[in-house]
Amino acid sequence: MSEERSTRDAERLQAAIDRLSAGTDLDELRSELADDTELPILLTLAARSQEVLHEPAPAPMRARQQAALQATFERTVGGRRGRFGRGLSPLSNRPRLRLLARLAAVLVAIGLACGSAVVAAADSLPGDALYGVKLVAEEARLLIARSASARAALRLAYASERLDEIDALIDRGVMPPAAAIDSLIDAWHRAADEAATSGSAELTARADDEIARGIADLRRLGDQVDDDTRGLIEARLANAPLPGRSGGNEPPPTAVGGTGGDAGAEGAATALPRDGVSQPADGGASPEAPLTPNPDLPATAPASVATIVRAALPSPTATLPQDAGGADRPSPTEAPPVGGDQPSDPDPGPGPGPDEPPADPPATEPRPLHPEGTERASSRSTPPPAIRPPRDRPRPTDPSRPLRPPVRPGDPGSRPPAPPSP
Amino acid sequence: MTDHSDERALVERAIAGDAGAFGSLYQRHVDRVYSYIRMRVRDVALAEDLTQEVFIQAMRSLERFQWQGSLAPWLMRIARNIVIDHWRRASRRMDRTQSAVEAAVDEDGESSRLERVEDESWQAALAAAEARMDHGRIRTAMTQLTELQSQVLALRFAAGLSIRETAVAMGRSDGAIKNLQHHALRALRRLLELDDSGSGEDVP
Repeated sequence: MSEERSTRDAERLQAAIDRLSAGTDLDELRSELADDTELPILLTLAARSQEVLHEPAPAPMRARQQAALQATFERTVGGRRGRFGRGLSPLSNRPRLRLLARLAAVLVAIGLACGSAVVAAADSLPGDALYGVKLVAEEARLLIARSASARAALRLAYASERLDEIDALIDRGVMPPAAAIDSLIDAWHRAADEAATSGSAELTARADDEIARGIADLRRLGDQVDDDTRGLIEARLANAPLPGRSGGNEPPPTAVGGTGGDAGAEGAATALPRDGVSQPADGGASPEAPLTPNPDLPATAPASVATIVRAALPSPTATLPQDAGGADRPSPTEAPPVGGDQPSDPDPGPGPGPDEPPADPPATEPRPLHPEGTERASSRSTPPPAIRPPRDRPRPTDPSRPLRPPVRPGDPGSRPPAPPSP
Repeated sequence: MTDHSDERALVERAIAGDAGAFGSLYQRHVDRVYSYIRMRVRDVALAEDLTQEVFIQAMRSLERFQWQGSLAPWLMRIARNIVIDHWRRASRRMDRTQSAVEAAVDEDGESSRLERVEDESWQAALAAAEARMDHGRIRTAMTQLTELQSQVLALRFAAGLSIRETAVAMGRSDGAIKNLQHHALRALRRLLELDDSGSGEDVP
């Protein structure tokens, strides 16, 4: 068939399909095409294919997925925006949805035991298709945790996971978006709060320690990212809670990073969520510690991260920390990029406002035993694209790189819908 | 056709953080996404899962979406990628660079198979062909199309996109889509007739 004839036939066929859609009778159209041996058949086939192939989604699926998606939306996209004051009413005030969300989370938790998509999601990173499932699974684990200390441990692990994800993104060659950095810092906040809520001094100390290490690690990642991202990291860290000093008795060395290094070396006694690799093989000195003192840091050691967090957040219920005179501290209004207006409350609520239900994760997998899930889990025969080195590998850093000034004029612009700072 | 003007409002509200607006968008588009995926993966449970993934991905990427008249092509592009990713992960060879039918179709000269029966009236031949177009056979034959052919038929007939929308979703011109559609239908027809031609049940 010549190309011209083929194109002409294609046009004729499509014209006939259009007219068929508009209501012209099929037989009439076929007659019009009868000069060609094929076109009438192709037209019929097109019509038949449309009937065969258009398959509406089953109603139970629609209902289930819509609920799940909206819940995820609230929790991730919508929730974040709500936090920054766009005035969206959270779903928390609707008891039926709270119950649904709880139920969904429990079902996901059941699904955890059976693997399925949750296993498949375990290595996913922000931006991956299954990342939502991963986050839901995390929330579900929190829901079924029995004690505040269990939750605190989970939250520390999740914060660690957020950092690993950023690491993995970088290894993939992707610059972590601001949202990922925010998630990480948010996770630190929550972990600190949870530890403080638990009342356990040991937990609090451990949280401080791990957060300090985490901050140091995050700083080190600054070497591997582009300038904008590095600036973003520094900006967020500057506004973040200060890492606690383990034991709380040492005078702080100059800057945040240095603390991390020192605390790490001394805090090796506290258990690590990872495999016990003690952190700074870079010796006791702070490897990447910028040597310029941060003028905004208090001169004396604050008691704990959680205390600082509460002090820093612009919450009406926050009280000034009882630690000794930090003359300067980061302005409370700087904290919000991650903390929002979330006062510490015993309810480990994720998401926007304090009234948020304990978990509003969607039921992405209310079919935990489904064989299809197994197929998907096992079909992940390829390892995750990037090999993630352990976070705490020593990395030579240029100690002469100065700490950027803590107050940066706005974001580096990587977040298009920049929320207004409260 | 969907009213695009109020779809735009929904999209803007969703971008602003309104979960209900996103839910409405889901309801508007789930059938086409599901139909598309169902055609290409066939398994119902998997199609449901992948459909949800499409919307989760859409949720994340919504900020970056530029309104160009309709949400459907953008959404279908996501669906396409998710299906492709799935097949890659599952190491299945859905992507046939050349199906047996392609090999059989000689683009510049082979006469239509139908001409084998050209001494019958074309109506009788048509009726005979139609008889072979039952749902099961069509679905089976679809799986043996090439990736591109499958793509275009899935977008056009399963997802119900217009020529223009399909062109946007596939990044091609309208004319190219019409040609692809034409060739895909021809290939499908051959598959259906080959099925009955005496070569037995297993069509390569």
